[in-house]
Amino acid sequence: MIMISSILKKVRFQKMMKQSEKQDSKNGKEDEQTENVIKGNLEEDIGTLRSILGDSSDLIIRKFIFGKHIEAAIIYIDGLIDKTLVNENIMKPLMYINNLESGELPKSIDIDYVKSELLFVGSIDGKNSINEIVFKIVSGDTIFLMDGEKEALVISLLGWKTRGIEEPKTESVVRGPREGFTETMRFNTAMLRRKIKNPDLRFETLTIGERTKTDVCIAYIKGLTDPKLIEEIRQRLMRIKTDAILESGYIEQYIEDSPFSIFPTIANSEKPDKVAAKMLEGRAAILVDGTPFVLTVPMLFIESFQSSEDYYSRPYFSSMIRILRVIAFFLSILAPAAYVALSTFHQELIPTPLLLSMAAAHEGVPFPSAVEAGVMLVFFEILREAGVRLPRPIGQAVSIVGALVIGESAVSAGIIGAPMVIVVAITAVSSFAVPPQTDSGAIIRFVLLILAGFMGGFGIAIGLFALFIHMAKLRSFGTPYLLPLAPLDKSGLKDTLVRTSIWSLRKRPLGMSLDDIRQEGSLKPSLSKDDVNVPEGN
Amino acid sequence: MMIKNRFFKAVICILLLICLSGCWNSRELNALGIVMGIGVDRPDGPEKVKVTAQIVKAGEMAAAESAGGGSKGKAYWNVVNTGNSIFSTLRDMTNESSRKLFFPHNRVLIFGREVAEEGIADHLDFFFRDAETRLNILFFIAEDTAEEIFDVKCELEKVPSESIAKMIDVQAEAASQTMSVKLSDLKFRIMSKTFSPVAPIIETYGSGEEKGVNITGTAVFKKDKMIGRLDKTEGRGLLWVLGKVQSGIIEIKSPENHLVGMEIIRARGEFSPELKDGKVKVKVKIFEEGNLGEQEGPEDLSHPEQIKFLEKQKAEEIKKEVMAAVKKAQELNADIFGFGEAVHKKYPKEWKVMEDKWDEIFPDIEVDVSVETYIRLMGRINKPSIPE
Amino acid sequence: MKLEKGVISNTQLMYFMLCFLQCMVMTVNFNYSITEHDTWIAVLVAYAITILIVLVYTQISQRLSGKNLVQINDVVFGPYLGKVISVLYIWFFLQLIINYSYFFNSFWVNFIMPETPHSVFIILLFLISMMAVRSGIEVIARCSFIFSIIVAAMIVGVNALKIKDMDISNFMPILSTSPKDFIQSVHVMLTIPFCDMVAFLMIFPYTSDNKKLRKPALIALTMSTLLLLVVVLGNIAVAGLRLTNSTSASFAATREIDIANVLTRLDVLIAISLLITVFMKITVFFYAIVLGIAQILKLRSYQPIVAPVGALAVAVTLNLYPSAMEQAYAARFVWPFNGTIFEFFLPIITLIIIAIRKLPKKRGIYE
Repeated sequence: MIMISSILKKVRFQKMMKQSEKQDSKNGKEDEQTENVIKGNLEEDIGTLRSILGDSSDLIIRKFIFGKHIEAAIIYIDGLIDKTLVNENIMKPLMYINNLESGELPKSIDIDYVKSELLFVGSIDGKNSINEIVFKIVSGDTIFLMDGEKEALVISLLGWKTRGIEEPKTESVVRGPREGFTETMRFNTAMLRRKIKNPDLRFETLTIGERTKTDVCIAYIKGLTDPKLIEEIRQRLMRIKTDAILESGYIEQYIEDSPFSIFPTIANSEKPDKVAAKMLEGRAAILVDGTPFVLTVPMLFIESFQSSEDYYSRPYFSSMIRILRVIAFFLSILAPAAYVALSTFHQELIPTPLLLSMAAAHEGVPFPSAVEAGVMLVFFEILREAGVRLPRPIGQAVSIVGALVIGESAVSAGIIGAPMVIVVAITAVSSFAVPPQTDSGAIIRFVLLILAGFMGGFGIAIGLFALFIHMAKLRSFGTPYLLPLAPLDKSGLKDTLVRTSIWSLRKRPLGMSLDDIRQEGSLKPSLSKDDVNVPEGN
Repeated sequence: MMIKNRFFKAVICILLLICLSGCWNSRELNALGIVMGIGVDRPDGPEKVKVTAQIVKAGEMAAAESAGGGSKGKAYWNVVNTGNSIFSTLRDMTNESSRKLFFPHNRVLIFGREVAEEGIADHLDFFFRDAETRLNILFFIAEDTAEEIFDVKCELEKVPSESIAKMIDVQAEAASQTMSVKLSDLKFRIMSKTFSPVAPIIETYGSGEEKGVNITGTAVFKKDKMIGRLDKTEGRGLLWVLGKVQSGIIEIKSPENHLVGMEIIRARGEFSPELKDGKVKVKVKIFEEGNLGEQEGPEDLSHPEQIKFLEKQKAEEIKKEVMAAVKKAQELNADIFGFGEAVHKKYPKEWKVMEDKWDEIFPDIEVDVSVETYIRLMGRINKPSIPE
Repeated sequence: MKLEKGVISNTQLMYFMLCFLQCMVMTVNFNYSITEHDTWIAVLVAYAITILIVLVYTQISQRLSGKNLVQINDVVFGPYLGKVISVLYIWFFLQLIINYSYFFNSFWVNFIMPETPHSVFIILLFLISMMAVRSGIEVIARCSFIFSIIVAAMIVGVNALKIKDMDISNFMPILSTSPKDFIQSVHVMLTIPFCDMVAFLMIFPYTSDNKKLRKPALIALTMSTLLLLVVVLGNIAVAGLRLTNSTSASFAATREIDIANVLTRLDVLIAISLLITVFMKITVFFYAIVLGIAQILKLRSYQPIVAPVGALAVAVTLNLYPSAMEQAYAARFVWPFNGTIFEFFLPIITLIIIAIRKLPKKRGIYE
């Protein structure tokens, strides 16, 4: 039965595919037929453009006459262009010819002459399709139309207000570059280019979103990144048929490998140094216009525990911090569940004095531990959400009210046991130590809590098993999610729980890069032949 | 669609499973009667055992802590019940206790003397078998009844069981006069045919509000029946042979017949049996080193010669203690040292014949004790502060 | 038409086998009551014999490389007899699954959660195992690396904490058990924890290098035997005579660990490592069963039969033995003879036939 139904389904699916292909080709033909071009009559062309763009108040159409008699217009959207530049570099040179003696005027002023001799602008392009021109207008380009010419000039004098390069709020560092990506994609590519001054650094731009026409850019280093990976990303990006892309999160959700998994399989960062480092490991980056968050693929689980600062400080401390992060992650998913399992199922595992003080704290508490933990965790999530969204001063007030007043008085009123407050506090603090997994951690925590509440330690163990099998199954763009651990990659282990010295990390992480070797031989620092040590006698 | 269906099916299955499991084993902390001590006595009536369970009042303990120890209420509650077997009697206690008894945190198991003399093996099965009980609880014999031991005033701890458990550990570490016996040791000895169990004896003193407990000696069993006791000297004699002396004070006489107290710092003891002409001879070797801890009189003991003398005296004293224990054991015909097991390990073939006749062999075993002692330090002063 | 597309490296195979074999650490309990303090010698003897058996298994798989047990039976015994033998093997693996899950279940119910019904543990264990089997061999192999490390660390750690309580004299007198008991113990040990490796004949063909199976198999065997020795020696040294009537010796010995009243009650670690290792055992047998059935019935995928086989195994496990005592009796007196047929005789016969018929023939008739 199952086989028959699956065959039927396949047949149906193929039919659907064919139909959609037909529809696509039809639409294409219609587009060609209806497409307009510049007619050459200024008034008519302006009318066409105005009918498409409507009476938007930010649409500026400036008609003027130059060369004594030639009618022309420039069209742009106010706010997206740099007005001074337009005035200085387009209007001024054109109007200036009016002042010339007629002898000095060229015989004929056509659009090529304007383009090649009059305008002081670098990026200039001739276009005659109305649709393209409209798209250019809304993208912030300035259009120059001339009466009698069947071509319009698209002049790029972008100049909208942008946020400057600031230190990213989500990933602040003590040591390391302070700059972060901004909302403008061009600045972001420039920042990457400045980090990697290499002709092999490539940016491929696609436009996604029927309405938003958002620029999305795949960045990679040619010769380092597997071309199959780039092809896969390109395919997945091209498959997106949506009307709006407003943030890289949209892209992430459209192209991830396992949309039902609770784990993120695409990493994001706001820091150019981090993205550059990942690209140098053989990963590809996806930049989206309008957001400072840059995606990097493939993502490994272990990346959640790595921070750019680990590589900037010396190995001992950063290894310690790594281990702490792993402990924090496990604490954050396990602490409430373990507490509930211990205190309601496995009391024999608690040392006697601790059991007595826990029992004393639980004396008179009206709820079962599992409910108590659940309520406290939900309350904590609410508190966190409230604190994040509110303006900072109010946010602080909320946390004080939440943490001190409610926590403290709930305990003294005997509604909640003090150990539970401690456990939830530990969970809360540790959940922030591993930012990429904070979201997944919160869900795992609740699931494990429920399992622990019903089946104690066995429930937790089963939950962790299922979680682990799921993670072993996950792939991010073809790379196993648990890579250096499962399957085992011995050289990759140098950069997992501990981070060995930079000079010993000779290989790039497995499976992503064409060129595995990062550096040849041992680069262990050593004295050069001449002994620089000053003799102690002197 | 298919995936979605499957997903929901799985979710429904798991939800049903969770409902199914319905928390049989789950018990909230405030539903536990945490037992810290169990006592077994012989009842006056026709039943076979009277069991005392000491349950901790967790709330009371915490209250006492926060109130600076000035709490009036007892931090424990003794439930007494009688019945025909340990397990059923303990379970019957739910008739008078609002919380089900919880055994994993039990610290001590005390048998009354009368029960011990009748035999303990039948009563121990529950403690060896049940999932909640552990083998690292401490085993005692009460000189009178176990019930009264659990209801004494203890000055330093809040619960008598806790106090007794700590007392035997400290005693074993600092005085080494009686053996602290865990249930695991007891199980080992009971499972052997010749190895006689021992257990510390605990007694009450005073009466009413001022009643206290102390450890007075070591009970000696034959198979599982208590047949006699060792006093403190003999108790240390036993510990010397087993190599379990950790510390303690040995009193000896100086050359001028003043009393000198020697502190034991390190000690080792081992024995090996030898079979000659069908006769068993056991060689006990003891190594001891310690410090001079106290002396009477103005005598200057700091000369090496005097130290030599004192070392000899100490060796003699240790030998005396060991021989006292051996003598007592042979009188009682109870192999408390495990000589039989040692013969078994060394002479497995001969043992097959000897095993059944061990009761006849043991009283006549010749025990040869050799002691090596040293005095290493003299403390903060090297001569007494009394002028000669 | 290949049922399993995944390929595991030979290193992965090693950890896979290690994790699979580690289960023996938990299942040697019957032996303590037979050979008492000489059990460790029985372990060594069983190890020595197992090396030969493992060489037989790897030799079969290397001669007929790329073929799993069902295909090998087809080639060696012909399409009809081969099918019968394959079905018998599948039946054998099913019995193994049932026995292991029953053992696991009675352990948890007996020691950890006495009031919980048996079905909960078994159903959950099988659900997880089904999830792993459905995910394919690559996922199982990936899990096994971390699981084997965790279990090894737990075992070594727990036994390190036992050192304080160890008494070497518990090993004396050496070799005091009667030869009959000793042979019985070795036999039990061979058939139960060691030689159920025969299930790996279903997995060997999915390794990246089919011709070099000997090394990973022998390393895994040696490492797991070392762990087993650590545990057996530790248990005997700690508990000595007391072991002989324990339902679970490791659990009993671990329960007695008491370091300064803080590091106590570590028995839960034993329970967890039992869960991990039994999970691995069950998953391997489960995988072998569904792959075998799919092969015999010429299905295109083994995934549709995972759930039915799981349900069947759960149902049989819950009803097979009326009591744990019955299972212990069966494991001691019945199972070894059952296992001998499938673990020793059939593989050896297979190898002999391979040698006589000089298989594999090029373009053999049954291929």
